[in-house]
Amino acid sequence: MPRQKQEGPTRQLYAAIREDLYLAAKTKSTELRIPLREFLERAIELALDRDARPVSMQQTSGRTIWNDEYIVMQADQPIGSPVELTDEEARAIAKDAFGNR
Amino acid sequence: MPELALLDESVLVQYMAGDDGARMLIDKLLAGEVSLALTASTALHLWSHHVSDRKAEIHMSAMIRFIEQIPLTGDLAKIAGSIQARNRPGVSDEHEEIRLAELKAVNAATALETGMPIYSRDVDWYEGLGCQALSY
Repeated sequence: MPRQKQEGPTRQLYAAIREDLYLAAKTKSTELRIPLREFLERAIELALDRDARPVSMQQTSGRTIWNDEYIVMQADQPIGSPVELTDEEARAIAKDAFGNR
Repeated sequence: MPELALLDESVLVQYMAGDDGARMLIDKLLAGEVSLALTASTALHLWSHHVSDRKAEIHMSAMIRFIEQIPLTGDLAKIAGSIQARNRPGVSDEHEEIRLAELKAVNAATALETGMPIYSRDVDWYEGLGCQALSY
């Protein structure tokens, strides 16, 4: 999966955290279709209260189906590669196909 | 569960081309108000003639996901072959019209065998064979 470029300086963080928290965070980031790194950054922002909004609100505002990281990732694959879509994604893409050719 | 209806290749082709009638039908499909099917032959034609890049492939995958696909059986091939032989366009074998006529023959055979109505813009042709044809 191609990584999104990060703007500005970054620091690496190594920490052994509780397994249940790690698994819950991993599950939630997968559900939101964002990298675990981005999920953790947002969680830290929320904890620090820096103009933070819930992750789910940030994810849905002003986005189209073709902005979805997983859809972009699939669109970057060569023709003939598997296409894996949820029902909701397939419905949005099917609507987007109207007048597209 | 809505009654299953067949569609010919023109529905998705015209939907992608921005046809309002096709849009109304596909919107109903996506809303679960109608159930649609297409033959494996139609799917083959769509994949081979209307998917030229990755985005088109994802679009087609998304649309076809909601449409039941009907396999071509030996019995259907026999009936379709008979229809095609009786309605063969007067052009050479390489002509695109021959391939489209084969598709229509498979659609007609499937509609006749299953009793499904078929959505098409070529209503007269299908009705001439005894199919229940629906325009869109």
